[in-house]
Amino acid sequence: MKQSENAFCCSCQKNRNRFDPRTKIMLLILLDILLFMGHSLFYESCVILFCALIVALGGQSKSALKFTTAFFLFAVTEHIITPYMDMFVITLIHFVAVCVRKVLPCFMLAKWLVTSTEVSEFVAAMWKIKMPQEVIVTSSVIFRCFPTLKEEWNAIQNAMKMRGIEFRLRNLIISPVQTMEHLLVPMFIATLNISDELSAAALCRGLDDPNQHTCMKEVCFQVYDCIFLFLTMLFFAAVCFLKAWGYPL
Amino acid sequence: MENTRKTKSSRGAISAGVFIALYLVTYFIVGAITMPVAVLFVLMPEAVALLAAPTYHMMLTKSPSWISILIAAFLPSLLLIASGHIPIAPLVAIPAGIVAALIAGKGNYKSFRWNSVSHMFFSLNLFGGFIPIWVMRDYFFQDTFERGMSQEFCDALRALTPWWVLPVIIIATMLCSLLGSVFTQKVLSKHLEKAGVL
Repeated sequence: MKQSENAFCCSCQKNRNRFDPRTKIMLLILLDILLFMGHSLFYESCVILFCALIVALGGQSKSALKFTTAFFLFAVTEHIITPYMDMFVITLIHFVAVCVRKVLPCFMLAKWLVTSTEVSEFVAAMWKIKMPQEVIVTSSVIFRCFPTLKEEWNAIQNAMKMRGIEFRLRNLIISPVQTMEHLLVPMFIATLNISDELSAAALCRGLDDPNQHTCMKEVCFQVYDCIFLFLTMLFFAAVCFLKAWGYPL
Repeated sequence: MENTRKTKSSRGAISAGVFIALYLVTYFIVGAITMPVAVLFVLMPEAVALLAAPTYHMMLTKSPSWISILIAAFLPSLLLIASGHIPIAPLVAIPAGIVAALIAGKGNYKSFRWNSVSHMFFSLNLFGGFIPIWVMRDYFFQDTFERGMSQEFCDALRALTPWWVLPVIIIATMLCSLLGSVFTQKVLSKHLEKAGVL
């Protein structure tokens, strides 16, 4: 028992730089709300710097640097071209610049959340918060399915192209019902096959074992999680107070 | 006995996952096509309701439980949050999912009629992104404008959305969802029965 406790602490110490998946999700939601509470450039810069700090500490300093640079580049571009808003092309560029800039902090966090969390880690975290098993299985299947679905889609498109009934605008207008039928029926059959294969594989690996499952990585709240959750809450509270006082952000 | 039941449930959970992924793909594609143009922007929930109905019915056939409905309703709003939309979306999506699950539960998740009605309410989960247009009108337009949507886009959207448009969109979405269900029954079930999956 003693030994296992030690092992537990060691593994926690080892991935000290990494956040708990639960923290990542909470941070993403809180910071998204925060992003909508202010409009000034200064406020947005604060938010993106904070996000960048989190991502850098989470082990992706390169991506943090890239996104922050992109953010400031977009901001500078916007300021330079604002006086020439009469031309259509400039309006378009302005639109793209502002739109992308506004979404960047959340996008950065979301990308970090998806790329830095392994499925096993995610599942372990879900076990910890006592989610029902069906929820865990379903949500972990969803995220690994997109590439497979894309492959199937390409294969179906290719097969249909040979007969001139592929999914495209012309066919969709001429015979919408048939086009959908030609797309959906093979898609459903392929999907069903995938899910059968997946469940066979999962059963072989003991998914239905009623006992407590174990995970190679220990998932637990650590110092960093606490600090950053606390900081974000503090940030949140401060912004709420400033809003209540009527201070424009 | 206990063991068979569990096997069935996780098998169902896995197929639910695959079908929810298919649903999300539909949502992505429709969203990417409709987002940039003001008129299509208002047509988006209808299109998704129409195209996703077959997927919804297949999902319920393969995994008859409330959990898959709730997850399918909740995930798009999480995606909206991750892509930096107004974070009010889950407040609409979760009640829609709960109502849909309750209705589908009336037919034990197996009756096609109840499932169709349930999909009518399920389709409303996409309104998380739209409700602000009416509920927080001034804030929404200010925010959209500051996000860099051009003044023309805002004006077009404002002209397109007097208050009565909301009930009209809701009813249109429900009708489209019904149409999707009819399409599923008339066109798809024939093939799928022949392939032995229904």
